[in-house]
Amino acid sequence: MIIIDGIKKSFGDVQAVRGVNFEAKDGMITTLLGANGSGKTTTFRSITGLLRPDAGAVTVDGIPVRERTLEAQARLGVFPDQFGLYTRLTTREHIAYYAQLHGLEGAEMDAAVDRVAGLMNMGDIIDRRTEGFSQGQRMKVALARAIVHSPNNIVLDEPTRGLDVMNIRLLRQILVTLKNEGHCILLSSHVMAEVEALSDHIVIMANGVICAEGTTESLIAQADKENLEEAFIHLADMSEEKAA
Amino acid sequence: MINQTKIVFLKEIKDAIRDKRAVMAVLSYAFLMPALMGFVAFLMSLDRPEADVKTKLAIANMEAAPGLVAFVEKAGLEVSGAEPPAKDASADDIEIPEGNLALLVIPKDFQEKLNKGTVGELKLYVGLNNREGAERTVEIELALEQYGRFIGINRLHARGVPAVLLTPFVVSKADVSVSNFGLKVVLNGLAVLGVMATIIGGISVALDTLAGERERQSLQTLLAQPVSSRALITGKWSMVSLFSFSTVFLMSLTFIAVYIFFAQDKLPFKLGIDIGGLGLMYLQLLFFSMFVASLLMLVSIQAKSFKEGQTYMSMIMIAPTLIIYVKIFADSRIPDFVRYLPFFADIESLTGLLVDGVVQPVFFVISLGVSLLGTAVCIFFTSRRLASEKLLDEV
Repeated sequence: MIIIDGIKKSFGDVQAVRGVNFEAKDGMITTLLGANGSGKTTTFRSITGLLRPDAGAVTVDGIPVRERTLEAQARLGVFPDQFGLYTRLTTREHIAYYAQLHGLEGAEMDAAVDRVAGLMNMGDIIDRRTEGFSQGQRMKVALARAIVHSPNNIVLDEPTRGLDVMNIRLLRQILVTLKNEGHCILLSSHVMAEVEALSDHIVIMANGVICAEGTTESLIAQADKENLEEAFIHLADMSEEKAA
Repeated sequence: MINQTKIVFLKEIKDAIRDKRAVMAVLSYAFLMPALMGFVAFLMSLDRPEADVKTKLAIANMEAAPGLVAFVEKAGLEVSGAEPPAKDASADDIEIPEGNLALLVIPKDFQEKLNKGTVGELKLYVGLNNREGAERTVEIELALEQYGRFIGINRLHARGVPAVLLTPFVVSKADVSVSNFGLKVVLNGLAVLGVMATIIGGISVALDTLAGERERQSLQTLLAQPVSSRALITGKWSMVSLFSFSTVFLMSLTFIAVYIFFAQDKLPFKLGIDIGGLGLMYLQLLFFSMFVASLLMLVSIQAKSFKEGQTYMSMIMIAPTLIIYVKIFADSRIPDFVRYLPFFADIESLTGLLVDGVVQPVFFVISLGVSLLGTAVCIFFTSRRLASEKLLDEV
């Protein structure tokens, strides 16, 4: 479980995040929804220990990220917006490297690599170097390395960006499987259909604050709109008006 | 941390040895540089005078001075007759007969003046086209001077003056220096090549492992793993150090092979280094490689891309290039304190080991100490930079 408790972060004069509070619970998919510049990336980076909030705290399974960064990171699987693969390594070597960084070794590591390779249908690319991989293949490698150590919490930053329909469907299936296994899944997305189909809990961010949160149905009701997209725009606009 | 450092190191090694650019940098410097040095040695040997070939001197009017001709022949010169140049010919018009290094013109009244005890004038025309020509011309001049002294001594002897009075002492010359200057110039160049090898071998992998990591956007994911920035940097630094050291190690092995099998007989010097000296040299180069690797990584982490890093490295390379020129062309003018500075002390120590085969304790200790201290400082600042939030904003 990930708890974000009143985090604030400024870069010079710019207040990127201004007191963000929300929870991402185990066995649920929580989606962070927000326009560009709303503070999603800063929030994600605070969760993954890459940024230190000026105020507030983030805990992962009760471990404070700021004070015990490496322990918290060990309980996270991170799927970044940029896949950033090593083109001279094979898929297996990629996954094994990240498994090793999380303390897996020997037969346990081999089993973990084979397990995620099977889960992601990567038999055809498992021993190929990643140079020249399609976006879908790159996504699979990035997701596999994020979950190879079976983390309790998985953080995904716009995971479907650039993927074709088949790969989006595959990703959805995997996320649902992981959710059903009891993992805490926190993702950010711009694709409303995807958010609607996947999310158990939606957190809408605008101007560095949470302007609304709830289920798809409750947000639509709260905004008194016909669908999630309209509700999101309405709630985000209201937040901007308040801020102004 | 040690286990994580090892994991990062092994991954980096696997990645780097598949990088053609990095491997080519190592191999080309390690194998081509000694080959180039061997070729230079070969060219130097072509320009050296051959001892068994006589210096050829053309003489015009040989019949006017048979004694002189006999003397220079006895001195080892090969003499042949030549036509005298025209009386009004200038020096530019005179041609030295083919196959000769010089033309000596003896005036027809030479013997007559000699008999009268007046000063005769000999004209020597030389062509100083190369080093060998210049050296052999000195041989001709020396033979002629000796003949003049021989005539002078005979004249005084005829007047009852003992010849020994004209030679109050003789100078016996022997080179007792530990190593001669020319040799030092050449071996300074070798020591500098060793220093450069560590830099060249490490540049590509140092750039790829940090600037490249930022460029391919893999750094953010890596930093989100439960591994400390110090373990990451140490693992990557170990890999760069290995590449740096491998380059200079392979280069030295190739150089030794070229020296033993091709250049030993052609060079005007012999390496003084022995097995023990080689061990010390490799120890020094290992420490130096570690320092260079840490320095290259400190530069690399400032760059957002491989290309940007290459620009920084080009600027950094000015420093060792400057040191090379100073060491080769102005070594004798370097103030003493400069020799104790980093890089200079390394070269001094390496040169001592190569030339004399003995360790120069002060330079050796400075080299190792500076390398260790420099490595610690560079790794500290690189780790700090890696842990900085600002780095992510620049990714």
